[in-house]
Amino acid sequence: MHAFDERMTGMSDKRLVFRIAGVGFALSLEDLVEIREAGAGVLDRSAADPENGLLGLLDYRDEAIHAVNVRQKVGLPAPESFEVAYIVVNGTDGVWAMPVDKVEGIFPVEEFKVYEVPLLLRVNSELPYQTLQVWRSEPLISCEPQTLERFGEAK
Amino acid sequence: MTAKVALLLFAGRNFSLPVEQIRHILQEPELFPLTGLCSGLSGVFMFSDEIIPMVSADILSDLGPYRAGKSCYTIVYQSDYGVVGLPVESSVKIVDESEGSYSDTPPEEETAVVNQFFTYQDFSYPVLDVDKMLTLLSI
Repeated sequence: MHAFDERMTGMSDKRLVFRIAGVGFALSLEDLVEIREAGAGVLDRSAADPENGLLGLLDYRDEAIHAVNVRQKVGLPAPESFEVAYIVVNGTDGVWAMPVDKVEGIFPVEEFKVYEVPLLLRVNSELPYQTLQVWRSEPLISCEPQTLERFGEAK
Repeated sequence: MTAKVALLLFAGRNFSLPVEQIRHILQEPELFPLTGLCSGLSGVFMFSDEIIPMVSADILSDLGPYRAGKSCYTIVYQSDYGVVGLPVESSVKIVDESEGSYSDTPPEEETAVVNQFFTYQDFSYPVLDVDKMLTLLSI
């Protein structure tokens, strides 16, 4: 388990790169709370609520937090094998977790360049992200937990 | 400078395109998937420090039977919606506009994305209206 604290010197100017179903995401460490390895017993699936996109509950500092089915929320395919980690993030009303397939690591902000989403992607539908970031010549989705929370909810 | 026309195979069909809107022709750029793409787009690629949406080869399947082919090249095209990538099959032939002629499409052959032909060496190539094609994505 790797825990992050904004008070840690220099950590807030780094970003975590991870992948879900082959799609790359970049998350500011200001939004990252913890990276938890996935494995047997980590997730209490008896508390799952698939209709609401909840996979179950995860222990987090003496409380239980929701693991959210982000794949389903943003239209990515179901995993071919078990996810490797849970990314615990700061949400609007507390922390929550999302399962991911691969964690690439944490990299200095200088390695990322923020881009507007191309017009053609924005005109046809609501997107679960507001910007893209290019990291090592690869466009990544800017992972914004609060945008993900709102995405797909009835207006 | 003489105007040029590109003759190409896109989405399993012969088309022509005015060269003035073509910024570059690439050989199989690396394609990156994203979430939230509509069915007419297959991902994005990097070109000249820009993130460019790639049009799916099956975007015109509504027009009739589609024969899937292997895309060899990507045309980097300046559209009203910004720069887009068009995957094309086999070679792209560039000819002088003066060596052929434009004509209106007969009503029975007009489609949402074609209303002109460019005839070159006795073959009529439909002129692909990329902007109209991309407008269909937003409907």
